[in-house]
Amino acid sequence: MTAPLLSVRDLRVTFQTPTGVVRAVRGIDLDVAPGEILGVVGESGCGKSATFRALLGLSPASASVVGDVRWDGTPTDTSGGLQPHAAMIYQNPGAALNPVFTIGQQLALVAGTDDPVRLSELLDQVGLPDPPKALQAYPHEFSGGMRQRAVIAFALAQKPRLLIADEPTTALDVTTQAQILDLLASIREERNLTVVFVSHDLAVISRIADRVAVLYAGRVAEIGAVDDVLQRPTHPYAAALIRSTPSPAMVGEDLATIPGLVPDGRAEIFGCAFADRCDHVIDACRAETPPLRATSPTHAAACIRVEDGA
Amino acid sequence: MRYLLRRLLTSLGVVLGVVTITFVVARLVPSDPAALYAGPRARPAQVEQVRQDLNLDASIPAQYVSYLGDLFTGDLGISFANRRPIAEDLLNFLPATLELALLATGLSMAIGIPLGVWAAARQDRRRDNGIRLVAVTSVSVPVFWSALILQLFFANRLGLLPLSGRTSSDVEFAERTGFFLIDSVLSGSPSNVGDVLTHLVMPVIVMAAYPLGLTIRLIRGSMLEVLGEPFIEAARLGGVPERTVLFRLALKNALAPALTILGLTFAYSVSSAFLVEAVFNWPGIGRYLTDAIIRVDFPVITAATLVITVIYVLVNLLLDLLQARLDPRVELE
Repeated sequence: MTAPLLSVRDLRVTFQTPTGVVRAVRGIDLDVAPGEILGVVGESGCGKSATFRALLGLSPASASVVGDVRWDGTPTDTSGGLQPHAAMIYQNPGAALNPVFTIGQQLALVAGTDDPVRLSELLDQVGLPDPPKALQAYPHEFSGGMRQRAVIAFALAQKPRLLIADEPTTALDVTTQAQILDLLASIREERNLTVVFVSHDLAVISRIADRVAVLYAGRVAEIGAVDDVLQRPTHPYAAALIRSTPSPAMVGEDLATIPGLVPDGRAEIFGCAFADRCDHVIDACRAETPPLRATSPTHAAACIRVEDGA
Repeated sequence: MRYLLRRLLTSLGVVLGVVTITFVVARLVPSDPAALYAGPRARPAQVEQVRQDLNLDASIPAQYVSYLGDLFTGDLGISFANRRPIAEDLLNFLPATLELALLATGLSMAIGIPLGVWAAARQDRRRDNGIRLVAVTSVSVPVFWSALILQLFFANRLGLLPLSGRTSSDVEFAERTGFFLIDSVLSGSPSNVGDVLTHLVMPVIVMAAYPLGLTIRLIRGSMLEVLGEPFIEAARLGGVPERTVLFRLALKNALAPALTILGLTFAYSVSSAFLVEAVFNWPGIGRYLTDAIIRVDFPVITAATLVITVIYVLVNLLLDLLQARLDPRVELE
């Protein structure tokens, strides 16, 4: 792998809540290569959003964010260090747009220019039809797909090097999803952008991502090239997650489920966080937290059964 | 435009309803208007004469119809107490109250809105707690008390401001609009303007206290809601300066829901002006109305109720139009 654009080591995000300390992220190691699309998957509460919100400085003031973060090789703030370089695309484009200002007024603020020609260009790049008219429109006059295109235009207006897309297609219908995925892929090509694509939908990830990181209980369980991870999962959790994803080839079959629940953020975890739900659990699993170990130059997993193959 | 016409028509219905109710109530009260008008020492023959003159011997429905007819021509009837046309008296007293209420509402918004925004921007921090204390204090201090304290300090002790009234006794200018601030400016004499202003200071502050606290609390509350929205986070991430985020992007969202209630505080100020007017000897509609109530002057009570109703209805209409301007999702249908 070329020198990473973003490198995260042992990131820990902890929230103080009235019911106790919640460990949302429990030591994540992650590299993002320049120009790649990294998919980040996992169940709800596994720390997908918390990780990137922390890096963007969006954690609540009471949260503690520690770890080692490097941008382009240079150490940077753990909390918020990404902000000057990254832009965000939201899950619900309706909520990410201000309802009482026109698209043009909002875009002008983030683009730092009032020039209608320049603003129309930005809307044109994300495939919004009739940009001069779209600038005058209010968000509620747009469809969901058009709103998401507008949100992407806002993100591009900030001239980011890294685009963080937090479930950007989850709230859209399937045909619109496909259009937005194509748009993101083509924008990445044109601008040589780096994209982190957070999703719980493995089908979407397999379609758009180059590499994928599977998160479990605030740690990376498995990370590698999309084909490696999805075709030959090593970590029992990744394997179970893939088995529990419906596909057209499985019509009529029962869908596999993973017994049990993701450990609560308040719980102390000793050893492997997945041990209680794992079919292959042995005593050694509960003794120590398994580190990420490479199985090939492009593939690594955090499971005690993985032999160091690199 | 069609919306406006329809709203004006329904507003007319509301006013008609209030007119009918006040009319009926005034006639249900067991007292004889003719006797009241004729005075306590009138002979029965004189009372009878008054009854005929005022058309009070007609049937109640006939009186109602002729009353409505008079209203449409702007005739609000004649006061029992001073036998003057009520419409003329109201034209004298109403501007005095409106001048107070407009300035008080304007002042409370000019101060309350930024304070509410600043408080919300620093939720639960020291500045927020300080501003909330101001808000609670200003809604809870009774008008008569704060008025007396101000008078004691600024008029009696320091002699900086006049104790009461709209002008000093030696100041005179043409009352063209009844709004003394405008009239004094029209008179072209700076000393007149200064005199009117110094008389306005204390009553306006006292009257503004309650709406000020309400404004702070409402704006703070609806700002807190808006500041939690993803589009605010997105704007901050996009590098929009915090001032613009607070006072433009967030405030326009927060203003629309708060405005409905804030506008009604203006109408409330008009109808609750009597305390302020009593303390500051201010010849407004509140004092006119309280005097009428004490003297059981039914035509005046009915007419003043009607005027206050009309003010409420108009303010409501104005607020709806303003809300539609602030929020493009509100359709005027």
